[in-house]
Amino acid sequence: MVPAPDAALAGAGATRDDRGVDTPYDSLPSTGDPVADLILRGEAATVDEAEELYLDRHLHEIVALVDSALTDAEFRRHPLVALLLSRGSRAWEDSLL
Amino acid sequence: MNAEERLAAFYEQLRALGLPVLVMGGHAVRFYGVDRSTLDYDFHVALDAADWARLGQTLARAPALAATPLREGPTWRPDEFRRFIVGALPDGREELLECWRRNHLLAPFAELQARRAEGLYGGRTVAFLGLDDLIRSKETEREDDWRDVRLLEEIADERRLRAAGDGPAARAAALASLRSRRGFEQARAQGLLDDAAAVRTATEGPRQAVALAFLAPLRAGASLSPPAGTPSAAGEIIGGPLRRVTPGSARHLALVEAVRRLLQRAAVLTDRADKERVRPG
Repeated sequence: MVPAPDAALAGAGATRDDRGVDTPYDSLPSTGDPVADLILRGEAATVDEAEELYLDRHLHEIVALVDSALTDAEFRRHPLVALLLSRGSRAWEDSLL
Repeated sequence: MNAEERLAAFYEQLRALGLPVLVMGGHAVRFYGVDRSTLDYDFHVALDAADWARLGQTLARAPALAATPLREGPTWRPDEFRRFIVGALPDGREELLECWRRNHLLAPFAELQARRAEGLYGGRTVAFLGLDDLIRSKETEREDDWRDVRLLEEIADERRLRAAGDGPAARAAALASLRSRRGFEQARAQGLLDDAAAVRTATEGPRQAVALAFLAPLRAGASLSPPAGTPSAAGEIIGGPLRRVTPGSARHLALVEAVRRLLQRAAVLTDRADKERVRPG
């Protein structure tokens, strides 16, 4: 699940208000977790599916985050970045081999 | 007889029938070191149209298949793919022997045969798709296949990085094929990223788009062309933001993952289009 971003980071990219504005479910209140919101709105059936959907919809924001003034630590902690890295290729110490 | 021995027995029977075959699918994934279960026996078979049409009769002559009446299962693309029910597991699930004659993801059989890997499996010597071809065969619309891809990429990187000590060409080849974060970190630990000549060769010759994404920050001032077929959005990331980040930083790794996802999305769409070509209705 993706935690709601810190208030300090809210303007830098993915935020709790970043729910797909083109959906007919916008009137539903946000839980503060965009992945949970996708499931509650019926757009995804599982957490896995919701995380994939969230990343696909927000991938373009990664470039903006890279060019932002976030420190490296803030960048790594950003929910979108944290989710992208956690679902991507494993680091050496996390490898299953 | 366990599943590996059964696969090896089927392989030997097919070879004895004179069929040129390579093992692909789950057993090939297991052969390369991924511990995962599989129910199917998947083969790439080189046959002309007439012999392909007679495949059922040919298989029925195999002693290993004679114990149970051979039944053919459903297929959407009978000219390219056929499956036969060869048994049942204790829980009732069917055991399937699946044969590909052509696969839109793969090169012609002769090329696959030249790149094959042979090794002991199920107690016999068996020929499998080469590792890079196996990875290619898994770039489908199925999420399960992409889980295999992730692990096979790490194995492929490890093999090439182990061979990198053989000389400058091997170092450049290992870098040009980097596909996993584990491989990137291993290459850095081996000092390969400090080898400017190897990095330059790796980014200028034939290379993977993901490898280029891993290496782009090291060639900040050079002109880099993504491989043919790279989605334009991925090419823009490689040619732009990736040149401005610190190698190995979170920003670098995030952009590599963005490129990887764009490549995966394009591959999924290509595979889906192929399936829609043959799906009825």
